[in-house]
Amino acid sequence: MIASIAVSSLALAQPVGQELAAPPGVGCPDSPAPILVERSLAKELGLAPGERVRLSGAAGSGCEAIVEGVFEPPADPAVLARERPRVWLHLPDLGRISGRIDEVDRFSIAMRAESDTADLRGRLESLMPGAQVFPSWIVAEQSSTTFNVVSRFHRAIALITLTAGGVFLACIMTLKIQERRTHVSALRLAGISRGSLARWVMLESALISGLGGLMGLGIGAIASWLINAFYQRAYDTTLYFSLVTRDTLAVSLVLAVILGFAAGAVATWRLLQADPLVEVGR
Amino acid sequence: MILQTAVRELRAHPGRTAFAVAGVAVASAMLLDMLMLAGGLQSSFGSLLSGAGFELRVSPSGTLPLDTDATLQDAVALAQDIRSEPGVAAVGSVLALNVQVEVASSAGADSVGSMVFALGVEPQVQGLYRIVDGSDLKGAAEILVDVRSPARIGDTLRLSSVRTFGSAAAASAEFVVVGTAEFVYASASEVPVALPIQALRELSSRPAEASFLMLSAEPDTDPNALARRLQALIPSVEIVSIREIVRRAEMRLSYFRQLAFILGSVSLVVTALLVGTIMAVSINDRYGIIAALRAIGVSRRSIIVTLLVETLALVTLAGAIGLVLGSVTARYLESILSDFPGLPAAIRFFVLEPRQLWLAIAALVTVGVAAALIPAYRASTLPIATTLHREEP
Amino acid sequence: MTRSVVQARDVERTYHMSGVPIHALRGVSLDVEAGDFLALEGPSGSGKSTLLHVLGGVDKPDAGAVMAGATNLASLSDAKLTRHRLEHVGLVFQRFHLLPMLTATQNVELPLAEIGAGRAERRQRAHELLDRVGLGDRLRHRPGELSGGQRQRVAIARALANRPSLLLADEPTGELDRVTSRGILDLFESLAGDGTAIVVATHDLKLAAAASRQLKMVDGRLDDSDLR
Repeated sequence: MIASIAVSSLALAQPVGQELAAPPGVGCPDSPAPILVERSLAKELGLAPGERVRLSGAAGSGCEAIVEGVFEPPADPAVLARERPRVWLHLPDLGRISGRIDEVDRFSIAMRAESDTADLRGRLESLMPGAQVFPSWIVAEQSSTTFNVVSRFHRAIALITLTAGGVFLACIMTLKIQERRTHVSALRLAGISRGSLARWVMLESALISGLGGLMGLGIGAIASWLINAFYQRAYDTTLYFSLVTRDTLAVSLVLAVILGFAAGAVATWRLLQADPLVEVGR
Repeated sequence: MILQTAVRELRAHPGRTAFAVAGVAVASAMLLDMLMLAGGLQSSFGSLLSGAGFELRVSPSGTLPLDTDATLQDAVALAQDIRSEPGVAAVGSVLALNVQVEVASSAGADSVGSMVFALGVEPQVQGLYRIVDGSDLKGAAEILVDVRSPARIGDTLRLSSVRTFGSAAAASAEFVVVGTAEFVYASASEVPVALPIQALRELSSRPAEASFLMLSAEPDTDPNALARRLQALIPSVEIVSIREIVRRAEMRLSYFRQLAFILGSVSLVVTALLVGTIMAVSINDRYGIIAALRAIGVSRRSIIVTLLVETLALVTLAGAIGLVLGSVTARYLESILSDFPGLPAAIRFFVLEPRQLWLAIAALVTVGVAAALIPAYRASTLPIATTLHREEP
Repeated sequence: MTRSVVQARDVERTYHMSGVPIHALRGVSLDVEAGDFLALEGPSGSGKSTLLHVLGGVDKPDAGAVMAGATNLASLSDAKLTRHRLEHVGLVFQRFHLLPMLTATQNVELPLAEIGAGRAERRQRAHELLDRVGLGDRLRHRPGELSGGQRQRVAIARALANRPSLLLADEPTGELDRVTSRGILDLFESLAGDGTAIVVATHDLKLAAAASRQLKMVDGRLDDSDLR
């Protein structure tokens, strides 16, 4: 519920130790409730600070509210696909309008530096039957589950793509090297050693892999830019969906060279096993 | 004779053919997986929703069922009003809440408290579970548990509401397990329970609330038309058809469709490159023979057809292997995506339907043959004399 | 009166290699009649192969005319020229150019399949021809399982599949030993005796000597003194 989420956010604003005022009755607040409106909603409804709106909840309908400000939500992937934008308002006002007096979804607790989190957790859970107390890192972990799944999925796709790329590379290298079998065989008959020929062919493979890898990095960087441009626009966010890091570049290039080199090595080995007399005689 | 020639040419170079087949097979597997992914969620989710037999859902305005904690107020009156509308066959109310449960084992008093997702239902009008063992809910103090639950038929469960904090005791009540069920929409990590909605309302002090309503239309009533009519009558709630729910769910997971499109396209490009290169190299090797065949009177058309049939044989074999491989990789990828939190365990991302299979085959064949067309055409239009001159010593 | 199978009139053909013009044929005129066994001699690069290609419709001259009966081959489209070669010309290459994955029989059947002959007819004709060239016991052998001479015989059988009026052979004994070459020569003599016009480009003096006419090609021209 919008109301509930906003309540938990505003609960943080309440200083520790300060008692909440006695909850007011349900229904519309006595004076227009000040609200903060998310940027996308303000844009959609054409709202600016100072404008008045009406809020309706279970207990109060058509309650007047005044836009005090427009806010940009933090770039949070967890709420990326959320369809409905948010408004923030004071907890008592929300309670009156929603009829949920003295109710919140959750509390956020800031600890003193030397405090024992685990101990407090246990004491709170025993004090409040039915409540669950989580350290923030668990909340972060659980809310990251979706992205962990997506990451694993991406890694799996990358693995499959690498396999496909490796097979493709091996196939192309084999074909291209096989194209030269007559020339290579003629050179062997002329006295050029297998070692020299292997070095020649492998050098070529390494160059092709390296150049191809660099080209691939360029294509990948462009694709990454396009992905970010598209999705940032689609979701109206400043989040980055694709990041090209030094590690990514290094791993990609190394893999490309290794795969290409390996493919070339296999093809070269096969080539140099052939009987040169038979090849030249073709 | 053309087919024979084509197949023999492939067999004459087993190493090259094997590599080519492997490459195209992997690309085919990826293509099939992406086609399955592109339509899987829609197909699976749609089947799941329509399997229950309730074509429409009513939820709080601006939400989909169980999207948020918001509930329908005065749901009892609302359900009655809707039930009286022409075209409505049945209306079932559902209240969904987290409750705390203590399980007293049948062997003794060994209680373990935990949170569980509770569904308050009207047993005679529900589409959320299928009884596996035992019987359906009849009495107010009865409860059904998920087949994966440690609780057994005959056990007594104490449910407590979690609505309030503080020192005041939460409301609680005891229920006897009368059956185990498969909950259609439960995620892999959920082990829900079902109890009479009235009992859950009393437990949670929500006497007239419902999370959503499930509606079934009369056989001769169009559900979409019914949805529009009811929406116009009751604008304060959200009335959606299964198709609309699937559409909105798809929008939220549109990333997968986009990814499927991109990777599927990449697979086709890889196939085109691979087949084009293989055929180009293979044809280059045979320029002398091709020129000789042209010289002895074999037409351009025959040359092109022979080479394209060769391509078709290659792509067909590789595609067949790829389709099998794709089924295997789809299962692997499915196992990863099934960990998505909150998604019903019955949902499948990768669904193989005949349409997708045919589409994959058609795309592979078309792309493969198109890729081979250029080298084949070039071979058929070789300058015969010049080529012979080059090939002869 | 013997029938003219193909006539060349003032034929010219020039190739361009790296921008340099190579005048392969310079005003060549020639008559080939049914039953002729004609040998074209000359050093490498003298234009022998080019003349064969022009006579067979494999290549078109830049100037002059090549007449097969009343038809000027230079005026035919590629499709019609291809059909002409299929029906009226047999070609034998120095390197044989047999399809390595097909048997001897299947290689011979190729032109018959192209012309639309039925399977039984193709098979029968192929067997007849292979018998004729002395390979009746090698019907199912692939080129890789045959000797050079045997491969050349298969190539000759293939060239004869559609009963051509003109057989053109480019260095048919170039890769063969003396004994095998003799066998090929005997075959050509037999075919000429049956009325097939044969034109052979060759360095083989024995083969050239066995021909009923010898023509010398030098630098794209036919030596006038030998022309009939």
